[in-house]
Amino acid sequence: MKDGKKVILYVDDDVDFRDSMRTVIEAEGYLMIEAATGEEGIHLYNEELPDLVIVDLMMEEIDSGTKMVRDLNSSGCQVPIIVASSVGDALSMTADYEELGLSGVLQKPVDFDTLIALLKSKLK
Amino acid sequence: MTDKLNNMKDLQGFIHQLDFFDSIEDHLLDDLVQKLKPALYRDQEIIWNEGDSGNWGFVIVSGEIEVYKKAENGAMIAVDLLKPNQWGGISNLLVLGCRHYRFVCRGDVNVLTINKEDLSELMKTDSSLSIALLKVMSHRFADNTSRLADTIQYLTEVLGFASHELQSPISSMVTDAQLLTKEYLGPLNEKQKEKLKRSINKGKYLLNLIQKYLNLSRLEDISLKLRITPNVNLIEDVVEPMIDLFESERLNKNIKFDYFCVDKILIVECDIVLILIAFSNLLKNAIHYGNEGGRIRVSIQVENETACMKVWNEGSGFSKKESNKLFKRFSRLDNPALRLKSGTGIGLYSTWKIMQLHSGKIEADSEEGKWAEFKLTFPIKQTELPEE
Repeated sequence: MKDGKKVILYVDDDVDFRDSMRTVIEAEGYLMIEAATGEEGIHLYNEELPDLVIVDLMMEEIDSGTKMVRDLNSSGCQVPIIVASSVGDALSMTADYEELGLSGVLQKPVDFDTLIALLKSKLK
Repeated sequence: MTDKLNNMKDLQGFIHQLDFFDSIEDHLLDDLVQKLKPALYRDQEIIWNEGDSGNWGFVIVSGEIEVYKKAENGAMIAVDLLKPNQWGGISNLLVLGCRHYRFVCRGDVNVLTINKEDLSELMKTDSSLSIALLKVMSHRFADNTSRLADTIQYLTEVLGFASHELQSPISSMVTDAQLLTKEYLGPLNEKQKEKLKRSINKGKYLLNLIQKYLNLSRLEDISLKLRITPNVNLIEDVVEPMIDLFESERLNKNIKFDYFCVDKILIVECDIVLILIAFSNLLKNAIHYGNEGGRIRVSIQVENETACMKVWNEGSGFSKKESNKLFKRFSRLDNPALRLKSGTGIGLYSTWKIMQLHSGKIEADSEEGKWAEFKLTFPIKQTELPEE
């Protein structure tokens, strides 16, 4: 929580995605902090302790999204973690879904109604 | 050189050096030398054209020969480069037929020629000569096969890379367009919204196409091996997550849904990622080609030690005549109702390929104009892993 608003950490190496997500997330009354790499995301998580984390799985650095989720889990992270990925990757993700302890998978391009519903249900 | 090779001793020396003749008796080689005739071809000279009839071949003494093949568009494409000690037209020494390639000299080329009749006569006296020629042919065949495999592998990687690189920017464009239509950045008039919605649909179509090409490039990868997971619950790990994933698309078309499975547990051995792709292809097709407001039926069961997944939908279906085209790569059915819908001709081919890899099969049935059904079956135990 910051200034009475729930904080969402969004990690994606695509600046346009971060910009669009910020517009929607902040219009819904949340505060968004962002990182462009998994490493930066972990750093920001430890510094800001957000209420929810969204990680893009398709960042340029191979496996950096999955690695970040594993690192968060092993550091005892208790907040909901959602991954964003394209449809095909969502298919291959299904098998690892439970193992990674995810709270949800968002398909890219992100459907904003689904995003908002997911945020509302996870940040009651 | 030709003059030089006219000398019988040089000819013998050259023939003896050719490793594929190493098992042949000296007297037979001497007979062969008698039959070989030196010939000289000049730079750029065409030794023969594709389609010419041929009853003679040659072995190269010096120089190089470019081998060309006519592409579908008529262009001549260089496919090979023959060097000294290699044979040309060897198949025509064994069987009479037409030339399959055009041979063009690169620089001056010295060859030793022999015709089919002379060679047949020699082969009658000693079968080791036939064996030597078959050895040459099999080497050539193995070389060509390995080159072809390298080319396919390379093209597959390029296809996968290009598709992957296109995915992110298009996804970003669609997201931006969605941001605008939802009026997060200010109000739009109806015309503007309509235009943006069309762009979003086109972007989504491209993403679907890219995804299918990515799947295809993975499946066409000749080094692909199944990654078998031993205890996959087909119902909870494959079928139900996919039903959930496509629920919003189904509801958008107001399609009713029936789902039959005897038990919540159906344990199989399979490559789960590939089976997810195969099943999702059928489900996506049922929604895409299904009637608006119609019905889809999914049923999962075990039949004779095989897992059986059926997806049925109300829709235009296909005729018996067209059904043999269904699983061909890039094939689209010539049906007016289906032509109105976008399609890639990849999804069912990929599904067929995935079933092949799992020693399974895909079957299709339809009553044209009313319904279509696709059925996947594969052994629940993958004991003998098919090699690809």
